[in-house]
Amino acid sequence: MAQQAAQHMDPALAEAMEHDHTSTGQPHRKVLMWAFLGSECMFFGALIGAFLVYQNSHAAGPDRHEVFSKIFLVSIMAFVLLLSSFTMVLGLAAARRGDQKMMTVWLLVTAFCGLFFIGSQGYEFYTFVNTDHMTPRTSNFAASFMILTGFHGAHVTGGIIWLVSVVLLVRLHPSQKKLPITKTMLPKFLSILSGIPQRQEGETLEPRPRHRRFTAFVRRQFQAPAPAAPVTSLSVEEYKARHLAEERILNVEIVGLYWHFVDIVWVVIFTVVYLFSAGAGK
Amino acid sequence: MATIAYPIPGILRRPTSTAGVWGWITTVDAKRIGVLYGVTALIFLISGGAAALVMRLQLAAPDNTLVSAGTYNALFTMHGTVMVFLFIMPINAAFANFLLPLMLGARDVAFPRLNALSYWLFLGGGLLLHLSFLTGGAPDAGWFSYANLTEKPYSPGHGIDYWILSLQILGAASIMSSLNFIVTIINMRCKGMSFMRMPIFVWIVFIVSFLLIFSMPVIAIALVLLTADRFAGSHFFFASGGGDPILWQHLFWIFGHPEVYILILPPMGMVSEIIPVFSRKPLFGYRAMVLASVFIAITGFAVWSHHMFSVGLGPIANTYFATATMLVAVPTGVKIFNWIATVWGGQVSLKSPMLFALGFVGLFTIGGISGVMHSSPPSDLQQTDTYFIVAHFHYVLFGGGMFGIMGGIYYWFPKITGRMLSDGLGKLHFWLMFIGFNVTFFPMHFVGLNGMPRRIYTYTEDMNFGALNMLETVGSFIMGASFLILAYNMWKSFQGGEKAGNDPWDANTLEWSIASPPPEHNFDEIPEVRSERPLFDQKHPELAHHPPAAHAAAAHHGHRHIHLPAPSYWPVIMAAAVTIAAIGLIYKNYPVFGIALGMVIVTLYAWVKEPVFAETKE
Repeated sequence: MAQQAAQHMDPALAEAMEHDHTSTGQPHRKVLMWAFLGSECMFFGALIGAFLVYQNSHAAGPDRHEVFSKIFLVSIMAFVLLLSSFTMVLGLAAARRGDQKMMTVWLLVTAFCGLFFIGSQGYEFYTFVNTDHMTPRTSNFAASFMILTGFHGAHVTGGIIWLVSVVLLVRLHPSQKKLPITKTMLPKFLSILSGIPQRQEGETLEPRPRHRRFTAFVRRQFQAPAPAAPVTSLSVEEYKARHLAEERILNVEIVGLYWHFVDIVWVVIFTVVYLFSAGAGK
Repeated sequence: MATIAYPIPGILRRPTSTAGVWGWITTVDAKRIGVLYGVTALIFLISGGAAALVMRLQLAAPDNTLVSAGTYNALFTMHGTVMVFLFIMPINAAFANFLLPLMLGARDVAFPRLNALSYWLFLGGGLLLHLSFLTGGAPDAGWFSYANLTEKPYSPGHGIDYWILSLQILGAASIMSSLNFIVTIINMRCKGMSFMRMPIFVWIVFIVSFLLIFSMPVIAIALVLLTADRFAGSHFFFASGGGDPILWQHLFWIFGHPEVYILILPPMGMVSEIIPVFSRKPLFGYRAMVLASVFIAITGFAVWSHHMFSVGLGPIANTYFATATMLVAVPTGVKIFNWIATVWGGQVSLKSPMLFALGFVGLFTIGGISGVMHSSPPSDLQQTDTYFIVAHFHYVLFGGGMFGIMGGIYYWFPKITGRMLSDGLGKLHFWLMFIGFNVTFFPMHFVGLNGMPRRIYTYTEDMNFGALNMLETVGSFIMGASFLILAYNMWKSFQGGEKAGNDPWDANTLEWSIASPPPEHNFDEIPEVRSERPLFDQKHPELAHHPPAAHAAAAHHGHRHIHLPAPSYWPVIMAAAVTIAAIGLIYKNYPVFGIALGMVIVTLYAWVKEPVFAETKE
């Protein structure tokens, strides 16, 4: 059926579509990301394996039950990182809706959660070194723990840079109107969070109650994108424009895949490294 | 909206010229990158081969003093590392790069610039490894670099650091090119080419790519831990610091065993392409062949500890690993019988590619059988670390790998250059290599069983190893001479060899349906495929189960400009920056390291912002 439709298509459009055609229908970059994440599993697998081998070799240094009994901060870190997976999803949903402003907001919130995680991890390492007197030289337990969590932290850092880069590459693109976020998005976002209406010049406020504005905002975040017109009805220019837009959404989707993966790895690390140690041995 | 052209900063414009040396440096064309891989690998083969010949000279007579014990250690380390990482892997990548898009009916790989980066990183890693020679102190702990030997107190020089970082770079390059191949195969098959219609070589590249992306990370982490030991004072593998040297062995062989299949599977793929063509029959048991390869790959991750029987892991572990190892013989046997059944009853023409392919089947079988012998721990305990093992893996990797690769070179050289290699010289090459190989490596079975250990730089006269060792040395020089014939054959072909035409062998796969050498865009019209022998179907429509499509929809005949990605200089710049960063790290020169790393990040942004096509003047 698709072939019959193809015969009635504008040949230029058919050529443009053939150029972007893939055997599976999935874009190359997405398939690449999935394969890469498969490879990443082995990186983390080897590190977690090394940790499991050495978790009890604490030599003269503190043992894991002692070190991981203070589990409060790391629980908050885990919570914030998992929360960031949620905001990442909202960012992708906004990108799919074509709502570039909310996409920017959610991606930056995601990056901020990552930043909180990294900062806390830095503080955690600082206390390990200074209070628990635990450095990579102390014991193999300490070294394998620090390399594992440090490797994960490096992934989070890379993710933050990537998220900010995706936002910047979109916002700094010459097609964008040059309006700083502080003048456009930030007041609006603050007004939504605080419930204080945002006044704009020459505009009378809607008499809608505050909670209705909030629920409308929430509902909007989960809205499905508007259904797209069938490809065959497009002109070549429209097709190319749509393809370009899809590529931009893909940028967000791919960094999202990476971010979710890093979060899932943390779930494993949190369980295997922290929870098992905090729970057992008491 | 889409057609608005935004100005692109000058530095981000892509180069347009594909001519000259600069054209090769900035190329993103998979075929050219394949040629670069191949030429570089052959040059590294000279390095690895020379190391082998010096070792053979040293071992020719008892109590020889040609090289010192230390130099000998460096020689066998470099020989192993170079042959594995700088010859067999890249020459397999060379064939994969050149052939994959052609066999799939595609115009290029999925990520052309990433492909170029893989090559330049490989070159950087290879040069880095060789730089250790010039800076006085090549790595000398063997290609698997067991701990504690690699720890700072035992290897205080920079040799091991060079080894670690070059392997790290080579590993990254392999992961990148494998990811690229995986996406290319999943996503760029031409119309009608379902997975079960892909040429067997493509299947094997697909499988090997998965092996690489799952095994390389493990060695990368092992190297990271070793780096921490050497640079940060931890002691992961340092027994006196509470570390476990056995962990290194586990991590190394979890990578190392799949690595063996990474080396041998592509030559198997080449042979599986060659044998049917020169037997004038379809490949016997195509599906069985695919499944056997998949099975070998999966088992590859489950047998690593058979390299470690002498560690004493206990009866349960030994029993499991012995059984799993013996299991590998089953799919391998399936393959060997499939090759034999393909030749059986065919109209065999013994051209040089076919000779090498048949040599592969025979010699690989011998190597496989000695492999089954030491899959049994009691037998392995007698054989491990003796020349019997050296004989075994050279029968697999040289008798198998090298013969398969040579077959591939004789078979695809006409497609790559457009000119034939002399068949007479090819046969001479084969027979010299075949005789030299067996004279070198067959006696090693005997000296090994008589107790000659591996990695010793000399032996005394009363051990009675002298005569056979002299024979092995003579054989190795016959082998060396056979490569000179290959070099002469290539030179003669460039001087005006016979023109190859599109399809000199009357072959079955799509790369032979186009000109030799292929045009930059590969196919004027993307082909449509109905079986796993698409070119055969085109040539013999009367025999095809599904007659080829009549190309009714081919409305675009005639001139059509095909957009290909433009060259780029960022891959080579990034690879250079990574290599410089590695050198900075080796000498703990942190400013150099930092600046080079900064360069990598800057390059990354330039890479992202670079347009896909060169700006065309319209």
